Amino acid sequence: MGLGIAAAAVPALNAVGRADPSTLGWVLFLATCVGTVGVVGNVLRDTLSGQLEFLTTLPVRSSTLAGAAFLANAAAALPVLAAVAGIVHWTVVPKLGVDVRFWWTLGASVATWLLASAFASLVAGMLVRFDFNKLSFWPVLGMVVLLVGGDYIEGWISPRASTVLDFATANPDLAWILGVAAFLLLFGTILGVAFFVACQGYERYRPKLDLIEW
Amino acid sequence: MVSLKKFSVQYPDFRLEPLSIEFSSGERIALVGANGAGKSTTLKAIAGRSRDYQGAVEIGGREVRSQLPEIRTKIGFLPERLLGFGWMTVEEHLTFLSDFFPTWDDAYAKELKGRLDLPSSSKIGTLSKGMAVKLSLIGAEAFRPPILILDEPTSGIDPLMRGELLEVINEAVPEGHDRLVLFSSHILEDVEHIADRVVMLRQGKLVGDTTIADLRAREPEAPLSQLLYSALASDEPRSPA
Repeated sequence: MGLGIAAAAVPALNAVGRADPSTLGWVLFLATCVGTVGVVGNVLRDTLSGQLEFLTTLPVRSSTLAGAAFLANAAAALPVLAAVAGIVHWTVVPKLGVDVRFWWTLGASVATWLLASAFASLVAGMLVRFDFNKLSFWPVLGMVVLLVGGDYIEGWISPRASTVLDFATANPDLAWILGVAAFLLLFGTILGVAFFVACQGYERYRPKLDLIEW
Repeated sequence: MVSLKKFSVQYPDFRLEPLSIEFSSGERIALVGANGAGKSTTLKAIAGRSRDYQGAVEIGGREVRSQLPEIRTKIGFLPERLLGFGWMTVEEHLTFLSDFFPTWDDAYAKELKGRLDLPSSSKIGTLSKGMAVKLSLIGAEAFRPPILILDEPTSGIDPLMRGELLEVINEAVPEGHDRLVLFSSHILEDVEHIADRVVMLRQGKLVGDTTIADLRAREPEAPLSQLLYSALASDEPRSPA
């Protein structure tokens, strides 16, 4: 959902000539925040309506529920495919001035989609596993860190990103392998953690109403 | 069949004292007591819906928690509130459930649906309390589980529907069957319709465990609900005859 909004925002920014990497970064950041809020809202709705309780009372393993949750998140994040394809093909590629083939765009889109799905699963898994009040502290801390240290973080990332892009342009074959390996590591880590946390959550899930339904 | 061994629960404002008790196949047992007595907590633990307890809850000699989630295919559970996706219709909800229970009997589910006059096309999120209980009962009974657990099945529904439900439960598990039925209620009149054994809880403590026949034998002329009320209010512990 968040990247869907980004998809709408980026061409608009590009049209008025402001789609520089910094603006693009902020749009993606805000879009991710919106997506995260969407996931949080969905999990809270499922909890309050008893849907989560229903699923956790079926005779299925917690790993099945965690897998199903990932598929649901992947389906909900499908607009990311189109969004990223649009961003990469019409905005990023012309700005960077590199000659990128269609399947690179498609690969980047699929990769971002899968990462977004894994991230959404992680957020959902954490919400099921941990108490919401305790979790709400971490996003607030993250926002403060980004607001206070945003410039520093951007200053740290930009030159390194340029180096990586230069290297990728100069060594297309090696860059391909490194890119896939980096993606698999990142995707695998997020998904692995999300799966583990979600399994724990479904195993231990206890509806809040239980505290008063003696 | 089901054994509770020093089963106890500790919540911030509630404690269920250690409870050791056994339930056998063929019994129809009512857990009675006021709100907050510990009935739902006990039933949820037996149904494998709660893991936060001390002691042991055993089914067939094995701890329930170690048999999850497979044991759920042997236990039908009617919760206090209907669980499911509000956007599904009654028909879709039952079809969804049928995929998870190997012994699910479609014809029996259809028969129960007709018997309880439940509209197939209604969204379950829009069902009244009474209709929701009926649907929950079908979900719990349609696979003829060896253990049927009903948590306050008649609470908050009108007398006509209540009578209808009690009749269907009685028909589903008549006296002399080989299944175990456990149900909780704070409506003492319901107990004599279904139960042949009564377990009484008060403020997290077991205060009585007796058979309906024993209760009746003590005072044959008195209404059963009055006998149950006296037993619940009394401090004198009662054991099975």
